[in-house]
Amino acid sequence: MIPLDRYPKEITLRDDTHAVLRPMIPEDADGVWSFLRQLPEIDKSHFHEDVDRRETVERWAKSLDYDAALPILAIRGDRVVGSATLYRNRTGWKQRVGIVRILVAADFRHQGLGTALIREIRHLGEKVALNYLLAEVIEEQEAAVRALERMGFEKAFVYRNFVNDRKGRLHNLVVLLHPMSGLEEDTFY
Amino acid sequence: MGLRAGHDLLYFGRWRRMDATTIDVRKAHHQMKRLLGEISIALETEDMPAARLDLEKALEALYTAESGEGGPDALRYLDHALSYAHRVIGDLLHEKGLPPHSPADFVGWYDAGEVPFREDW
Repeated sequence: MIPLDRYPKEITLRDDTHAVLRPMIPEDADGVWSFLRQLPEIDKSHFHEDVDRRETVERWAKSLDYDAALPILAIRGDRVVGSATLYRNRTGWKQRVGIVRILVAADFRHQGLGTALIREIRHLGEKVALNYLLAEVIEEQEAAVRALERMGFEKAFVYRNFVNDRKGRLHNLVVLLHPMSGLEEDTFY
Repeated sequence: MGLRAGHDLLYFGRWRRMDATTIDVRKAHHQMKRLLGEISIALETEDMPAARLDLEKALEALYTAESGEGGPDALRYLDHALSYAHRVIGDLLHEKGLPPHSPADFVGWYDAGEVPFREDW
């Protein structure tokens, strides 16, 4: 079980305003849907499903399973302004690798919210003893790539013209890895 | 929090200038040692494994810078130590719900026109 006793957690942004971080609950479906709809197209490209459809988000909200996917929402007032999701496999060879997906509302960028969400996921990754966090970002999302690198993620690969957006245009995909504290060299054999 | 001021003293320090002297660099090593010591104390009561790992990396980088193992890159290692220290300070601020620290906000206090600033996300 992932420890969630630190939530709700209040954070302060660069402009001295506050936001609350907490795990998504079923009642957040409307807020998350509004948040996703307002995101720039490029940020929605990685979703496997059409997030402009309300049913998609409602289905997510009804089937929350924090051990498989833990969405931490950043909330200002009653508005969702950011999210960080930690995806994990319970079994298999990637069970010590957490996949990270971070989204920030366009009007909340450059306030430190994205970085705060990375810090949060890093903390959670440590708490569940992951060996690595993995983030996949389209190369054009430069601020996100820089923020991830500043927080200890390292560029592992750049796949050229590898992924397409919803209009079919190709983009370079940057894969970043963050080694966690429990990853000791002597664990290799 | 004194850690932020300690960080900025180094961030805007003379050791980063083109005309830095040996004394400037030696002074920076002492300041860094003091800063990492204070960070270590601040972390003692916190359950923050990622920050602890960053502190270890900062100490390692400082050791490399001091021991001469870094050779001509010694200043770069000192710079790495400062970056790791900044990340730990950021983690501590985040845990306490305080706003992120950006040295750019304090540039007026220092004689530091040459230091590049990085935007936040």
